[in-house]
Amino acid sequence: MSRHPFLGFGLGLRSQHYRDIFDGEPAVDWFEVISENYMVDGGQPLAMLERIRERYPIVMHGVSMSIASTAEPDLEYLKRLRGLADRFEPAWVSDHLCWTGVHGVNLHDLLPIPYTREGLDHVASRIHLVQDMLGRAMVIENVSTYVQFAESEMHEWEFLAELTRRTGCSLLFDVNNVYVSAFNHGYDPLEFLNAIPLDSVAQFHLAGHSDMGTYKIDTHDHPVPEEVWSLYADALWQFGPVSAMIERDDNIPALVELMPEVERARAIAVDVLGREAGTPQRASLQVAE
Amino acid sequence: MGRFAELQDLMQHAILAGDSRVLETLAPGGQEDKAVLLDVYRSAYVLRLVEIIGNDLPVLKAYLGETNFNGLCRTFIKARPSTNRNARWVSQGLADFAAATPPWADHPEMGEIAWLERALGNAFDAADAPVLGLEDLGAVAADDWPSLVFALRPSLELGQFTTNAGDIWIELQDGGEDHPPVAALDEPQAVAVWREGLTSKWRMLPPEEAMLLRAVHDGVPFGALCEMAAVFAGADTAAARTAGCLQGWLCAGMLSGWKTG
Repeated sequence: MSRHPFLGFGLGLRSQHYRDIFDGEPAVDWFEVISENYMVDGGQPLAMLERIRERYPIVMHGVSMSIASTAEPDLEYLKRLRGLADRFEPAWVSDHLCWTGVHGVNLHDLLPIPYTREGLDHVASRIHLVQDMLGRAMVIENVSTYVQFAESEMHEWEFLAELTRRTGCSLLFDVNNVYVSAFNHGYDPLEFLNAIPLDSVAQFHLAGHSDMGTYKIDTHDHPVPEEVWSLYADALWQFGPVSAMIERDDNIPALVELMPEVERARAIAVDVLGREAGTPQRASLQVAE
Repeated sequence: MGRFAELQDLMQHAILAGDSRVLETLAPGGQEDKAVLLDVYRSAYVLRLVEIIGNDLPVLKAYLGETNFNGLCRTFIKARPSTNRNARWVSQGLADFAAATPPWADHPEMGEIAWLERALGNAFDAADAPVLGLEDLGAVAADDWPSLVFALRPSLELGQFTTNAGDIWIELQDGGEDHPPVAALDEPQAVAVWREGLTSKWRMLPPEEAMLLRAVHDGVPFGALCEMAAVFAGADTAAARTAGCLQGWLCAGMLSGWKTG
């Protein structure tokens, strides 16, 4: 059972949907915001986020913390992220188990790491630093990967489980990413799922991908496919009620077209766990004063 | 350097420079050759950055056409890999790059369109600040006016066009396909970009107004602005012309405050 608040069923906040959200007040329980989109000085992004936050709980999800990078930690980035979190009071702050660049370059991609003991020490120490800087526990997401390093000494799920034990961080279990990586590397996604500490999962991501035949790419530009819905049901059996959301980053349709996916996530949770799993915890729905 | 760092170094080289040494460190792929899978990262890197730049500079993309725009972006990305964590800044140097790099440097309107689009983007999420209005100056004593120093809103950025890039932008910005033929201006002309409310705006500035606004940026007090205007275009109406410019800036929300110097 997750130790985190159960926010219900959410959606990734995208600027294309601002008007529909304010005009229609859709039945979304919460929104996930991309932290970097709001790590700006002012103007429309922060004004819109203020309005969203008045109505909905949010979580903050970053794409460039680069927590596994061997480059020096970017303290300015972390200070700015802390400022945003202190201002908007998200339920939690997440980013990915990956690196995005070294030597001062940023490749703007979520790059894979070898799952080695050296890597574990490095990432654990970075998570400790980040948690100290942010004043809160981190939530770490598994990424889709296309290559694996021959020098890995453990599986990705063992690496993640050990990180939670060493640092107290939680996990954002991206169901699609598990499915994509399992296909690309030829393992059973249930093996991944079964190895994750039961109380460590704060959130599920549900998304679509591109099927290239011999491999799959995590494009987030399609509806959630049946295989991912099925793995989501397995994850619900395993972890119980966990805040879940639809993540669409490209080919973004109108809000009304995404709502059936939000409702399907809710309906599957009800099917698997019972009626109470369709309703977020009341205490989790507090919005900003 | 530890092995963990070495592998990141090799992977980055593979993506940026096509260096394939990292292949020796990769495990066999599930159903696909690992070289093909490594290429997923290589191509995603370029495609993602081209897409980000295209989102930031849609008018330049429409003006150049997809193929030429992609060519410019790919050359830019190779010459100047991104150094900022936030993808919002990836297109920041493209205007200067296009203005200085052949063959785009031979078409100054390209760099100018890129500059305008990027400046509009900068204004979009620049720091908030109070807006100084006409009514805020009502209480200023007459004797204090010559020493008034005005503060510009943080979103205000000044640039310069040598071509009709602004006219081209106007025709293409709403998805239009036709635009006027490129033409050089008789004289370079200043352009101001700022944010009014939550909306980014821009306009061309006549030479005298451009001179005065730059002086405001440099902290020149109102009395000295009037003296500059007198030298520029005659003393008789200098104070009135300067006050007219000030009124325009106030109405457009370009100023955020004042103090006596």
